Amino acid sequence: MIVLADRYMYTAFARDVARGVSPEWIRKLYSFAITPDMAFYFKVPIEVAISRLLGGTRGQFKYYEAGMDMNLSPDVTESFRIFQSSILAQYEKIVDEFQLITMDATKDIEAQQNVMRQLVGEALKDYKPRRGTHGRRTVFWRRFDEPKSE
Amino acid sequence: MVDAQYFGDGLTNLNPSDLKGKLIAIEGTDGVGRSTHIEMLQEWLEVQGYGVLTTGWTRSNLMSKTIEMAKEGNILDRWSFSLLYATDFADRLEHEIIPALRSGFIVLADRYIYTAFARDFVRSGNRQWVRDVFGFALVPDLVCYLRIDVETLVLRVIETKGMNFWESGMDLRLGSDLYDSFKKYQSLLIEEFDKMAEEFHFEVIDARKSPDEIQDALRSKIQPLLTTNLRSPELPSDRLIQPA
Repeated sequence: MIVLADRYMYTAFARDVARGVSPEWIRKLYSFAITPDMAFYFKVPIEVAISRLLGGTRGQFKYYEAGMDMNLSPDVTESFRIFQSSILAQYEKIVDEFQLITMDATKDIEAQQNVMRQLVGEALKDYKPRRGTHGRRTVFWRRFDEPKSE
Repeated sequence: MVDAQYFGDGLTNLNPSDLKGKLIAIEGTDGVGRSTHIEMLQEWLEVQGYGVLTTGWTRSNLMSKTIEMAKEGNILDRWSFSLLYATDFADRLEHEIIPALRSGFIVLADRYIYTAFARDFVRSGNRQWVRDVFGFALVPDLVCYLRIDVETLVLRVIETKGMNFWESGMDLRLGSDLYDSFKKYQSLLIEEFDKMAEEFHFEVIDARKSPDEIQDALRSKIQPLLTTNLRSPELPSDRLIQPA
């Protein structure tokens, strides 16, 4: 089967190090993670991220994504800018360290999707699709509600 | 903790040598009598005027309910098992242990990272990963290991609270029933604790002795750590409220 992961260990490598966690420690912690066959990094300048979040349907920042727990600034937008900039700086290192595919996320969705489909298509050219069920999806090994992704 | 240090990769924003209190870990396998002795130690220390914080495995606000739920489901694998406990520990370290040590308290830890090390090793055969995970833990000033043999432990547990799924390591399929599995699982844990006792210089206390003798042994190990400047200066000990 194909697994699509919305965020992966690289999120922790960027975000937790920006929060003051040791870069070596976080990598050892996740050493049990499977290295993905492909990993994409959607890159946008900080100002684009800010204007999208403020201008989009949400219209505001979440407490932790703005790094408000770190007392960087009493102003939420300023705190977001400082914290997320430091995350972006970490991602720059991670892209090199783990050879992530950088996507220009300032482009429109369709253009990005076309690039992704072409890259994924190439990567899957020798892959034989396999299915267990036909459209019926059940999560059978968890007793809990399916958690929402961030 | 004058020369306090982290076990491995520590918290970059906290210098542990600023911590004034003492960290004492009480280790030992399930049913060995840790919590009873910790309760008695707390009272003994408090009447002498020391501030005491007791912190126990899985008791964090953040994780205790989650761990309960995960255990009920009997669905933990090696990684989720160790990471749930590591998260519980991290929450208590940040919100209980470090603040207490900073204000000069004596912290009594009912189980510490060595419990996680033993349990993970028994499940994985690998010592390194879990030790790396707990790198942010503070090295205790003293580790007292209540040591018991598995035959005595079995009798004690059957006479008191009985055996449960996780204390018997039933996830490891070591035996055909709870009793059988308990003995094998606890033997493996004790074996690993014995090895760590040498590696990490635990004070080994014979937990087959009477409760009074064990308590005396614990106190004699703790006594040398106590300094008068940890005591509360204003309150004479006879005015302190005795713990219930």
